[in-house]
Amino acid sequence: MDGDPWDRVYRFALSLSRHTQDAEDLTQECFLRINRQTTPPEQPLAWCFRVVRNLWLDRCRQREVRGEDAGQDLGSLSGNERDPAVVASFNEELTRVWRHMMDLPDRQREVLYLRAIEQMSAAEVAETLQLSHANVKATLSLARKRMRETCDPMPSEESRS
Amino acid sequence: MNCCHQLDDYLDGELTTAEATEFLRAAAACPACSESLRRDARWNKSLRTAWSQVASEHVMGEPRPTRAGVIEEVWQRTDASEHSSPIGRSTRVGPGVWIAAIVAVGAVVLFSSWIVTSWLEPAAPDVAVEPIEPPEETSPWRTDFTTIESPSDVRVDGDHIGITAIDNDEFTFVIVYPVVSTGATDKQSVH
Ligand SMILES: [Zn+2]
Repeated sequence: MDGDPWDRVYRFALSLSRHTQDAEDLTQECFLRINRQTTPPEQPLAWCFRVVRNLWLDRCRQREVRGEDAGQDLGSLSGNERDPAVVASFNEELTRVWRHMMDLPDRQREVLYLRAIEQMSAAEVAETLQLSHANVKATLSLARKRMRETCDPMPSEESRS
Repeated sequence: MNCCHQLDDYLDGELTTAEATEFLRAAAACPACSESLRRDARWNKSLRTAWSQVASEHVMGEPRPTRAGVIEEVWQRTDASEHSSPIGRSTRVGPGVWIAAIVAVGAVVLFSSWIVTSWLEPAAPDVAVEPIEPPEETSPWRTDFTTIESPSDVRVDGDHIGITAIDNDEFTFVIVYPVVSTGATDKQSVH
């Protein structure tokens, strides 16, 4: 996805955290860090995505230690209920698809984001998230299958769910 | 069908141009692959539209002074000597300091954005086919959201092949591939 690097990092942060406040914080922290780099990373955007992800995982761990909501499991709240401001401008279709993506398991959500929205190849996603290529491919396959089933269910899938 | 085991590789962007072209031709005749591609194209389009509307409030508006962590960072960078007291800073902050900190955060943000922008190579693809133009969101090799049931138009222009694909009259996508081998061979292969 084209756009301002800040927004691209912010969107990735939002896809991880599912909260605008967390996403803002993660993005700011990431840009402060990149600003401190004496030599620019070879692939700044991939570098930012990695930093944001690590910051987010740290934050989740800290919250878990403090017994707070780690952001990983928000109970029955779905994406748009957590962050109504984000979906305020969406029509019904966009809201529905957005919610289905936000309801994906964390790993599926992050790889799908990088593949579908940032349009990275599976190999690039693997490198960015420092996961194995096979893991990314398997996760992407599951994520797409689930998106197909939830966003555009066939009659048999509808009756299953 | 032979195509089905290649569906994920295709959607992962891992097929070569020739393989992708061959896959799409086979998938057009395969109900399972066609259906998966059709459904993927649909949610993918909505998802991309949704995400394109998401922007950081920070960019859209003023940075908010409630970002204690960020203010702290900027403080350390710009004002360390003046505010090195171990006393909690929040009790010592006057409005001038907040304004300075906000301005400094803005400067850091703008500068960082500029750095990243300047590091990033222009994303524009180095291919162009006349009169077929790829839609803005499409670039070569990125055919994740493309489905071809019946390629309605195939054009070969020098080093590039453009394929217009129409799906259920809902979406029209154009794929532009650089021709890897000789033009004549590739031209025949897509007909
Ligand atoms: Zn097939």
